[in-house]
Order: sequence, then structure tokens, then C-alpha cells
Amino acid sequence: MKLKFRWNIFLRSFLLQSVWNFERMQNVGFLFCIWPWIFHSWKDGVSLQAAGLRHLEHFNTQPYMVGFAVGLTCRLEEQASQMDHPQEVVEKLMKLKQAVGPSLAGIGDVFFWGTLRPFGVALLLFLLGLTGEVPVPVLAWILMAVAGTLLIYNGFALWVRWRGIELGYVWGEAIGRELQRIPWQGWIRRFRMGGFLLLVACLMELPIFMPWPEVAKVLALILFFLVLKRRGLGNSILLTGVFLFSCLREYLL
Amino acid sequence: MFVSLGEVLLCALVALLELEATSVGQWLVSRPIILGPLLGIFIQASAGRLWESAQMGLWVEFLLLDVLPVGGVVPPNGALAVAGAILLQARGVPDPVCFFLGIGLGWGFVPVETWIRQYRVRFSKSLEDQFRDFRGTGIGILKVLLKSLILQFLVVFLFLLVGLAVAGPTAIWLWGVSPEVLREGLQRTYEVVPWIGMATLFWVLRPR
Repeated sequence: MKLKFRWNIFLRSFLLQSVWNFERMQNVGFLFCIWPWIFHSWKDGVSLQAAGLRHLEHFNTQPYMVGFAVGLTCRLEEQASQMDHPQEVVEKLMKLKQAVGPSLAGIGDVFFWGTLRPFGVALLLFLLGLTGEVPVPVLAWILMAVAGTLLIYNGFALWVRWRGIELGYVWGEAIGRELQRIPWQGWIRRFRMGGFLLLVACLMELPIFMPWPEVAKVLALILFFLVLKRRGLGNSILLTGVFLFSCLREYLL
Repeated sequence: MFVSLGEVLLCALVALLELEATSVGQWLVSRPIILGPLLGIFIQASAGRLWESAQMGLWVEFLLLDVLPVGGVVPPNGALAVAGAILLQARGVPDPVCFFLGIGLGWGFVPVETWIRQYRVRFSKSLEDQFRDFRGTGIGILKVLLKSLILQFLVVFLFLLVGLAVAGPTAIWLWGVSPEVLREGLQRTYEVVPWIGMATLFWVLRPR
């Protein structure tokens, strides 16, 4: 795939979810991503319209992982366009695309939403905790902390998006097998551990802001909420409980 | 006047940035933890309350951290939540009220977002019709995309504007007339938010 096409598809992939709808989900965004490629591959108007129509079928995946599905689709569309009887390849493509979407979403949801985003929050929390402790004006430090967090998060997300297009195209039908060879679990473990250590460091910053008896109280509170979290209670329930308890306590006292 | 010109412009800016949450890019810019400090720089730096805005962004992020936008789930709108909270904060509304009203705006947008996503089905169908009638073009796809983005922008903008116009004065009035027990309860709950947030982060990032 030429760099010009890859770059065009990469930029278009940012609009993948702009027409997200309950019936076909990311269908329009996906067609928008691959349009330059299918326009280039299918020379006659009827085939081009048919290609456009089939990619308006239902599709959904995790947005940062879409590159893999787009690369695969480009590869098979190209193959199909070079055949006299492309029906078989087209059917294979649609089956593969439908299978790959949820698999990529499964990986991406755990990695990006479930791990990298909380890691970003932990990192920014740690950096903001250093405000006033580093010899940088507050405004400049907050801006640097925000920029640093965005850089680390997006560096990874954009890289996966960009590389995904190339790898999906190179792997083609072997995408299922090849995806399993990427050490996603290792990355998830590393980011979780990194985030966990950052949180521990945040707790170590607490004595800067409050006296030791307060720190002990806070640690006890965090432990208490952790126990409740372990029992499956969400934040809304916890907040409601705290509110009711506080009101009752205030009323009785 | 319920809303100043500056607030209208800020609502437009937030609506523009909010597009990034789902529709365009998803670079994390519209997450409360980033939008909080950024809005703080716009609004509160001159008032010397920049740090409070950054904090508000953190607390809102903490609370929404355990909601994952997986599949067809419509999560509460973090950008609206933090923008509502910070705009109210700039009006001098007490922090606990700003926070919970902001969260309310974020959750209140869920049915509106659901409606938008349902409405977009007709955009998808119109594009299908174009391709079925052999009229499909790249410009046609782009037009549908732009229509959808404009719809999202306008709805978010109006929602925030109306929310601010109604919630601001109502909150100040309610805070004044509500019994001491409720005010104290809200204050205590707000003070606990960071620690619930820390517990959530520890829970999510615990080594497994």
C-alpha cells in the first residue's frame, strides 16, 4: 500500500465514529475510511457502487484498533478487484470483517479503555500532585502535565492505529493468527503495574498536603472503599451511600 | 440575563471539543481530567482558581472512570459534566453543588445522546439509498459525516447552554433554602469523592 493511501486512510479513520448509529454502528465511518482505496481499486462504476453498499453493512470495533480491519479490507478488496469472478473473495472478506471487528474490540476495550486510560489518569494525578513542589510556575506545570499525559496516551493509540493499517494489509486472511502473536497481555500487565506504582507514589505525596493523622484517615477510607469495590459496588452507589450516611449523621448529631 | 456572551462562547468551545469524545479522533482531550485544567486556564486563571478547575476535572474523571464505552453502551458525557461544573464554579456556585450538578448534566445527556444515535440511522439509510441507486460518491459520504457532526455540535451546545441557564440560578436558590443537614451531607460527600476515585483507580489498575 502506497504511503499516500495509508496516510489518507489513517486521517480518515479519526472520523470512524462520526455517524455512529444503533442500527449499523460504525458503517458510514468505515466506508469513509476505505473510500479512497476502493475508489482506486474498482475502475467501473457498478462495482464501485456495490463495494460502497457492502461496506454500509453493520460494523463495530474499538476505534484505535480499526486500522487492522481497514488494512485487511483493503487487501481483500484489491484482490477481488483484480479477479474476473470476485464473488468468492468478496464473501470471504465480509465474513472476515464481521469476525475481526468484535475480536479487535475485545482486545482494544481491555487495553485502551480498561488499562491505558486509567494509566493516563494515574500519571496525570501523580504529575498534578507535584504542583508547587517543582521549580516551575503552576500554570506552566499544569500545562506540561496535561501535554505529557496526552503525548504518552496518544503516542501509543496513534501508533497502533497507524501500524494496524499496514499490518492488516500485510497479514490479510492470516490476521486472526497474527493478532494472537502480539503480546497484548504483557503490555496490559506492564501498564497496570506502572499505573499501580504511580498511584502508590501519589499516596506517598499525601503527607505534603496534610498532617499524618489525616493521611491515616484517608488511607483507611481508600481501603474501606476498595473493599466495597471488591463487592461490586459502583461509584454512583458509593456516593449515594456516603450522602445518606452523612445526612443521617448530621441529623442525629 | 441568564447567560453571558462569554459563557455562550465557552459553551460553543466545549461543544466543539466534545466532538472529540466519540465522533472525531478520541485523543483524550475531551476527558474531564484534561478538559478541566484546560477550561480552568480559559476561565479561572485570572480569578486565581485554576487549581480548583483542575481538581474538578480530576473528581469528575474519577467518578466516571468505571463506566466503559463498550459496544452500544451510551456513557454519561464527561465533557458536559466537567464543563457544567466549572462554568457554575466560575459563577460562584459552591463547589459541591457544581460537582453534583455537573455530574447530573453528564448523566442527563445520556437520553439525548441515545436520541442522536437513533436519529443517525436515517443518515446511514440515505447513504445506502444513494449507493443502491448508483449515485454514491465520496462527496456524498462526506456530506453525511458533516451533517452528523453539525447535529452533535448543535445539540451539545444547546444542552449545555440551557443547562447552565437553568441550573445556575436554580442551584444558587436551592443551596440557599435547603436545610443544613442536606448541605452538610453534600459537602461531606464531595470531600470523599477523591478517595472513592483513588479506590476506583487502585481497583482498576490492581496487578492481576
